[in-house]
Amino acid sequence: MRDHFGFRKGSDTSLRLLWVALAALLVGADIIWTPHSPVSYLPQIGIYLLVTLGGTGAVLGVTLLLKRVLCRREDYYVER
Amino acid sequence: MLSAEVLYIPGVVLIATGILLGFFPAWLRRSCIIALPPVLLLHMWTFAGGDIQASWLGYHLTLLHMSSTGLLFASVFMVALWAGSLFALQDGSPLELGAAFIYAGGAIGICLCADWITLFCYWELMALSSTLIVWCGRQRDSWRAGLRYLLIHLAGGVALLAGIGALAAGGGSLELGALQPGGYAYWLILAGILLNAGAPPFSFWIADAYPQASPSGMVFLSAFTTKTAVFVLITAFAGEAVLIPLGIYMAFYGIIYALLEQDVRRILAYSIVNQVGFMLVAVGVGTPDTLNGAQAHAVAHILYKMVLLMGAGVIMRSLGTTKARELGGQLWRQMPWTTACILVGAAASMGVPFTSSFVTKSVVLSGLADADMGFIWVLMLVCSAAVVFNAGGRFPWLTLFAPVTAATPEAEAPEVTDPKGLAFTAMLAGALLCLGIGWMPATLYSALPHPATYHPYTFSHILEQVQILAAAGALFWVTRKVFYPAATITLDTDWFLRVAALRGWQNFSAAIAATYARVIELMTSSRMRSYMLIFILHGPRGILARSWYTGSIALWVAVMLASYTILYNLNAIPGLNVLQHLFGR
Repeated sequence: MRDHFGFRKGSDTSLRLLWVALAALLVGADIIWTPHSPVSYLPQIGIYLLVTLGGTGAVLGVTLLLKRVLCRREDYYVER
Repeated sequence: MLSAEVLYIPGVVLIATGILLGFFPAWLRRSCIIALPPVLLLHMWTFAGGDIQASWLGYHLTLLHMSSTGLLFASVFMVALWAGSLFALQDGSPLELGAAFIYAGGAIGICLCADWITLFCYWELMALSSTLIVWCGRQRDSWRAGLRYLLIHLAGGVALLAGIGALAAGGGSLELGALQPGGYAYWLILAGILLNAGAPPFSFWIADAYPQASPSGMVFLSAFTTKTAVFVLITAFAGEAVLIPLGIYMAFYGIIYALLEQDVRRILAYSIVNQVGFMLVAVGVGTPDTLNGAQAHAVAHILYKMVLLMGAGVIMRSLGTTKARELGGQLWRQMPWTTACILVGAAASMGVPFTSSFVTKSVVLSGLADADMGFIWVLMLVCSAAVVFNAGGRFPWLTLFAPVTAATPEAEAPEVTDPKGLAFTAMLAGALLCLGIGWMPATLYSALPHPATYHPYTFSHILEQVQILAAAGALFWVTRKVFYPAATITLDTDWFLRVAALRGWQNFSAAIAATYARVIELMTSSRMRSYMLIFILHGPRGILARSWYTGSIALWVAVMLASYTILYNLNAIPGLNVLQHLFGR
């Protein structure tokens, strides 16, 4: 079975469970052991996860928007 | 005696070798490539002589000056030349190898000189030799991409020369060092340097030209031009605030464009822009910690990018393509050693603990935090995490692990093999250096110009880095299908050069041609011919407007009188009636 991208479909429940466990561990470690933000006026707990998820998520969103504007056919310059 | 001292200048020795390399027999060329860079590296670190100076047209030139920053950059350039040349021995042409030696000689010459005039000479030599390397790629668009590359770099050279001229005319010192902010000279030199760094709006040239080079050519190109610019920025423009927004733009530009790209070598090219942006921000902040970080990260970046590009080059040599859609065949099964090296390079690019970027990128981030630049720290942290979306995670995934796709059915899975001999040695050496710096950061820190007080291996730093990598990795995994490459290209600012400017020129030429044709048509029309006849007769020099000689007037009066007399007499003949025939009466 393949999805519409051509990738094989498959169940990897154990992998997903591993991700969830790792995320829980990281959040727990963040709250219990630090690290706190190195900049005094930024949120002190969870700053690395927050910035990474929020920031890279925003970058991905912007990229999807720009994809509609900037992407052209492969032979775009060849035709010109 | 300058003539003998020239042999102590590593850049000059490399340039001379590069010029002669094509004429050497194969065994001598091979020996030079294997032995010369290590010998010169040893020479640089053991050279005990002072500066080598010369005079030219009344200017005082310092051809060799061993500063700590210059020595660090020159050393890593020498390593890149050595590894790149070993990798190139398999299929690099003598012309490409010669150009690479001249190119590296220029870059190392810049790092080890101490005046703007010498720097400019090396700078232009780098532009010309690197263009040759692009042309040696012999791909479909190598020639045109090389011309665009040359155009940009010659423009940068003109700005740099104008700046140096303005500096000299203003009575400023031509010694290479921190420039006084303000004035034409300062901004012109900065513009010239930034063009080579890939700053906006000309960031496109890196992804436009580099992937058009050969597999080994891109290894050379990735190492020298942009990092030489970073070296000059550190030397002359440390603390220049303009570099911060430019660096932030480059960092995000690199991430976004790499995500939209389908060619894995272009992904790596955009990743270069991304990382140079990171360095520019560090130079712009300009504290001792961030400057240390910029230099350390430049070293790390040259090494891991070299490994990744060699990995891409191995695939390109085998398959003849680097388009991700044509690679999907889980190549890791067929090339375990290359996979291992690429994974080390990718880990180093992401800053996985015990690899090079873990101990270099964090110096910059720590410096930003210490300078209390929270907003910039957040942005750079995002950029650091987002490397997973280009060189760190996406590149190895697309190259080695992407499942067989509809574009490459299993039956047609491509065949590749690990490189052998010197090419493999070069890639392995690069990977080991990435790990070595990660394991023993003190060696690199001790070579930095400012005292390094940063300790990367603390519990909190490892934990925060794992958090960043896990969060970015999870996002990458979730969105990997959304960003699976499509068969498209992405418009960049080179559109203005390749389409808008070209179309504008074509329209301008067409308008000129149309105007010319209209003028010619007007000149040859019947109405215009009538006007011209009237002008010829009645104009200032027309026949009827001339001053006549008295004799001519008398002649014409005599002619008219004779005509009248003849007509009168003819009319007098009975029955002829000439006047009646002529005038009707």
